[in-house]
Amino acid sequence: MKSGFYRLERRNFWLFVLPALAIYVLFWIVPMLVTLPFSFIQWNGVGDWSRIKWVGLKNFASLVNDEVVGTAMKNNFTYMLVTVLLMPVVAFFLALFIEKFTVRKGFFRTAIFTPIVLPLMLVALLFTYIYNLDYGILNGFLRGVGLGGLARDWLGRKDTAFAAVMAIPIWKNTPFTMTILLAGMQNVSRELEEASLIDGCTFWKTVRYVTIPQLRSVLIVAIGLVVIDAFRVFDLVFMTTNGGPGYYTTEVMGTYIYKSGFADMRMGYAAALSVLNIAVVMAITGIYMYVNRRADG
Amino acid sequence: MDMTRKWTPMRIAAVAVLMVVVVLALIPLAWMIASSFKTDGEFMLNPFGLPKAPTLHNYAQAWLKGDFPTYFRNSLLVAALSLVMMIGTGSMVAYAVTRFRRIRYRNKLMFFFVIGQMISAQVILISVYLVLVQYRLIDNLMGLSFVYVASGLPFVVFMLSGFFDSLPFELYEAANIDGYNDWQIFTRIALPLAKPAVATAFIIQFLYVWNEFVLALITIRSPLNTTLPVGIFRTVKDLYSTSYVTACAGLAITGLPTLVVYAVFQKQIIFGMAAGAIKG
Repeated sequence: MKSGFYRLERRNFWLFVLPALAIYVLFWIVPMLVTLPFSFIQWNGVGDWSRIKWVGLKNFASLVNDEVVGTAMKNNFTYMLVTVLLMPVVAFFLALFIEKFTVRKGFFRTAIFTPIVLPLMLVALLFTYIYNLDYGILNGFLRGVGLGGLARDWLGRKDTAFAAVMAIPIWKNTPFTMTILLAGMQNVSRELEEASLIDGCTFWKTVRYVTIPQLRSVLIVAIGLVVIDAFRVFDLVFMTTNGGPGYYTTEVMGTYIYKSGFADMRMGYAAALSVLNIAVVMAITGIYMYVNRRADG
Repeated sequence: MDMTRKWTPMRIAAVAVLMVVVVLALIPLAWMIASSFKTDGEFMLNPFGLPKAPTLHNYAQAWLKGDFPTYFRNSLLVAALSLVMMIGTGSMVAYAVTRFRRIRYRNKLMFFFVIGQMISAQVILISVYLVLVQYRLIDNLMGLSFVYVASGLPFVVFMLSGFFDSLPFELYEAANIDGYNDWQIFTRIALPLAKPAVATAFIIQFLYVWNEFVLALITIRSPLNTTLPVGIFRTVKDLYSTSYVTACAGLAITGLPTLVVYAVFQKQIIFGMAAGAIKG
């Protein structure tokens, strides 16, 4: 008897799951899986797959000799280091200040969260405007406080362009990290903190030895998200500098993949670049998880 | 640890820092909106103050410059198509993996759905394009919607299964005894109870689909099928060279729906996104 019920249950289970599974596999899993085989082909992206030519490891051979790949990777790593060192720290203090020192927490949380919901397209274009040499609000502010000497064309100069680009996601995404930490702080034991204060610990000692250890798992997630983001960056650079000024100054893997595929029509090469990018992300995620697990044990 | 009983110097400093951050978070937006109501001449003379004689001229100009009605219609169509499919099929999966407890591989299936969250469009955009070419769905709003559904499913399945899991199992058993079949339990009992969770998933995924840029950029070719973010990006990029204030008005038009949704549903958006990140 039981097996008859089970068969019916199994059939119903699959009827419920199948529609989503079909779309998910066809439009998300298949694209992910074909990236590797596509890195061994040569194809200009026109017409259907019958025009594809198999070239073996040739794409990877040209990738090794391509100096733009080095520049792009260097930029991705710089981006990762800067955002990882800056965003979680700033976000932590903002979350702590809201949680511990304010009465109207909702006001601060809502106001500071606003940049997250704005379309990235709007933010990127608005910042090209903010950085404008003559009318931008950044240079206007510098001139207003007597630092007019610092005013410059932030996105148009080789020495400042990448820093100016990185400031945009820091502005837009730090509030997200802050919100995650703020949510985590709701689960921190108030009693333990009170006990620590009564025992004579200062506020900062309590934060360091009571609050932060309880936030550990949330901090790991928040920092991990920042790390992964560094290798996803594409639209932001595409919309602001598109790799310029000059010779690939602010190129990142994302924009170089896009250019190789859709401007140079080298789909196979673009797929090989994607494989490299995915491999780097997986390696970094793996190291990050390994280090955290080691620290746990 | 309640530090809000009196105004210590530390508290004053902390609140001062927060006020500065609030200003930093909002000033670019305020500047954009103020500029959008100025004339070109006023903007050149006074780029930072409030507009003296606010004008809607820029909004009319920006609206006429790009093909906004077409972009708007396409975005609306894609949002409607993809959200109905995403929430509909996603909630069915979430229900199945929490309800059919005798299916041993249900957790593996759940995991298979959730790992999709690790991949992002930026990383696999070449392959998404190549696969859509083969499906003959390039420059097709239906094709774009399918990709949105697929990329949004991990979040929806994750979020709703968390909710269905919290329902008492006796509820299902009672419904079974009353003669409801699985489909009736799902549509008449589970889904209505899940309304708050479904609403949160819906709002967050609406913001995602409405603002999505990368996939729309690579899969859509013709101006007739362009969605808002890409269409406005191209329009505004052109406007920069001619009129800053019109460009600002164009951006303000883009941001408005998002800001309205945020103003109305800020609680669900903030908590939903934070919860999705922590547990995912």
